[in-house]
Amino acid sequence: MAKIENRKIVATADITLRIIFYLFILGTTFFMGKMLMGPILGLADHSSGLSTPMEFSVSEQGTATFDADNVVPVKIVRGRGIVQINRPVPAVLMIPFFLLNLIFSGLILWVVYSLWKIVQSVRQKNPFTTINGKRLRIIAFSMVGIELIRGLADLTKMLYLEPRLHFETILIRSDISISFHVIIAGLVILVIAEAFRIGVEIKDEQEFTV
Amino acid sequence: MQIRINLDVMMARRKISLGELAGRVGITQANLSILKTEKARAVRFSTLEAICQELDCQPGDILEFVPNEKNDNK
Repeated sequence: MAKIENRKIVATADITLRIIFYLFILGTTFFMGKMLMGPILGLADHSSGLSTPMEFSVSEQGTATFDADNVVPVKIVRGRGIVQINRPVPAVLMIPFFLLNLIFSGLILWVVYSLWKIVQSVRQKNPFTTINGKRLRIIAFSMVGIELIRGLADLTKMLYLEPRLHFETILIRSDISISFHVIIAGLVILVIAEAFRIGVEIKDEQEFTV
Repeated sequence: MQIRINLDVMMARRKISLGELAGRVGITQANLSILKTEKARAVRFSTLEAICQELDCQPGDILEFVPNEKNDNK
């Protein structure tokens, strides 16, 4: 009975990861397109919604000024203060900013794809392969990488945007939100990947023992 | 590969086929082929014993240590 239940869970995970993978590709393409279309077509204004929203810690809604003369609305959405800044990134930094986003999205996509492939091999009852060991390592390194990039993005926001953004009644504050849980989870997966690699080696040796 | 397998030589001397030897030794033909083509990573004593029994030979007739060039130069 438990065997059948586990099989169902694995099958559900397979389908779910497949859906997440394709939805993520669509989502990434949309947001990357949006990010590029704004500066290219000059559509980055509040009405078009093509400019990138920035999140800050604020306790009330209102307006703020960006670069002294640009008035921008501040909204609180799901407990976070969202500031819709018209072209927050200067043109010279647009390409590095785009590349950073691309790497970030690519890493998430890579993690989902690797996990999906591992689940597929479990369904085919052949999970103990060298390639799956590599996939686990990819997942581990990507998780650490994702958190470091997030930290880097927050640091950029703190150093570049925060001094330029002024809110009349309250102080706008940004934090570096690196999740150490994710980094530790990544390191744990790295250890499991190493144990997995040794396991695959032992299995191969066993298979070639006559 | 430092250990050379001379199973084919011994099989030719005894005029026995791979399938027949595999059947007598009690392992699959695929596994005996892995041994013959030097793809095996390890040999069980029980397998070696059965092969020697069937071919009426010593382990040294089947397994041969070949020092590689690097070790010779040292």
